[in-house]
Amino acid sequence: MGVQGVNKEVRQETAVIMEISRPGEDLYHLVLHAPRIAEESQAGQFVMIRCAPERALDPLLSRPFSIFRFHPANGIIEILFRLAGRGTAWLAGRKKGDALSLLGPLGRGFSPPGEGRRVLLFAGGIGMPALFSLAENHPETDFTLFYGARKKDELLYLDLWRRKGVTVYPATDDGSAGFHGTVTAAAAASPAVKEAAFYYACGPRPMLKAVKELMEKQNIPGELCLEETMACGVGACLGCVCATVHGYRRVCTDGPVFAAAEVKFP
Amino acid sequence: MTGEPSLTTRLGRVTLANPVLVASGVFGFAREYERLFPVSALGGVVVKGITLEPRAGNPPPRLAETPAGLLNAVGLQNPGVEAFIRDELPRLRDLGTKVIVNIAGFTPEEFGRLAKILDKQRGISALELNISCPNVKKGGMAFGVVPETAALITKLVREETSLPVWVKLSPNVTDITEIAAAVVDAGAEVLSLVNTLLGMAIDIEKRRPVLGNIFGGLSGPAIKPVALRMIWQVYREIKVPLVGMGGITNTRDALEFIMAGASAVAVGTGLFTDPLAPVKIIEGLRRFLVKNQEKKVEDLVGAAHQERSQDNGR
Repeated sequence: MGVQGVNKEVRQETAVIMEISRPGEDLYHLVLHAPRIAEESQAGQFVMIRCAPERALDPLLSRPFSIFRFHPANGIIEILFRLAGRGTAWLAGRKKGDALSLLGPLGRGFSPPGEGRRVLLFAGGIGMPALFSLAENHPETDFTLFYGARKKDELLYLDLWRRKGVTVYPATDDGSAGFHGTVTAAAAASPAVKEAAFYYACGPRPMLKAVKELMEKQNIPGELCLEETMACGVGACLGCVCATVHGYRRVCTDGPVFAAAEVKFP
Repeated sequence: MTGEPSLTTRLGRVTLANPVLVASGVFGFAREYERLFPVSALGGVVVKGITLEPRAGNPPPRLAETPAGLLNAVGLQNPGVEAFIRDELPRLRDLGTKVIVNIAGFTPEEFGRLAKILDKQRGISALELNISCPNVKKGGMAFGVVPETAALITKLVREETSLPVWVKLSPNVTDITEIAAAVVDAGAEVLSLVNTLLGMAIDIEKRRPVLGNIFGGLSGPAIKPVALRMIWQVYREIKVPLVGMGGITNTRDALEFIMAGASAVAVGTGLFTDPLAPVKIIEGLRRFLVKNQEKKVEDLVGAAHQERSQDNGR
């Protein structure tokens, strides 16, 4: 499967919307028929979606979205996204049957979690989908998820996670569900952390920084999935770099998944 | 009409199979897009700007999207000329298209040293002097807006190389024809225009500039009318071939630049809207020529400068 290699099979593909739903306030779920991308996807990778009518020049740039689920057998990929600006507002207005222009699969995904290992997942808000693709494709791994959101309504698909055999610890900023506080505070209070061999995290930068610090104290290695504004998505423009111990690295092609030890936070 | 129309384009000593290039900075060293389309289909590739020493580039964020535009402040991140020659040029030579190497210096002498180093290398069709990159505080901006300095850089490069010398002009000037004349007098054989327009964006929640570098270069369709006007002005005053760029995303845009006086065009930010834009434009130009019973694309260069009375006489 070559999980860590950058996928050489990047394609431009016209995808058809099979379903679009709204599982939470300002949160959307897209089910897309994109068989060529579905065939090549790996956990942690992303797609660029053109978020404008055909031939329109504004918004100019495509938007990157983590792949939530991919099903090569029936040519489906699924995306979860949060309404964040002009691009996602346009995307949220699409209907079943509409066509979208996609580029993908892109980026370097997660390294394999390893059979039978106890692995922690830290998801913050709309960082959850990338981690779900990892859990769904590695049923042999014993995952524990700490999943944080602002409030209960923004915690998506907890049942789906549990059906995959994942132990889920929700956390909310307002205490409306699960632990009242951050995922790191929830994890610090949990015995699961002491038994873990590895971790993966995806979410806002302050959360990733806090998770990295907590895990370093426990001597647990892990990987972070980063987000950044992108233009090309394929590594050419050098617009989406992040600071690492090896200097600036491209989030789109050197990442979006990086070894946590590499990533520098300001 | 008989036969296929010709897309062959002469830019001084360089002859391109077609007039569509990709601009410096959007195409890296031509590694990334070869999975999406055959790079050999392009008229040529202008590679990412090269400096004497490796450069880390500017701190992120480096991008800010604006209405139909893009601000960037990458800051000339590149591996330096030695690594470029060692790691990139051997592969670029075999791409099957023309390779134009964009170079940037921080003093006029550095341009000369870069030219001397690259002069010995095989597989380079021309050097494009980046005297107009607005991103680096000590760098291109000052050179590109002062005619005497721009001319000095061109002269120093000419003295060190027999390669064709192209100069990429900044639009951030009062009179672009003044700079154009100065660099052509100093030996520039082709002019590329325009580089990005200096701009900025502010994050109102954080109450600070979006870009890590504060200022960035604006590109994309938002700047197309400005770029087109400058091609028009330079074409009327200066008799060297022009490469037009600035917001080109489709065949119509490319034709506007050609009719304003560009012998060739470069797709830059347009590649991010549609990675296949360059190859679509090549095909679109061919179709336009067939439809209008034109024999060659070179006959359209500057076509919009004809007197209006001719128009009326049709």
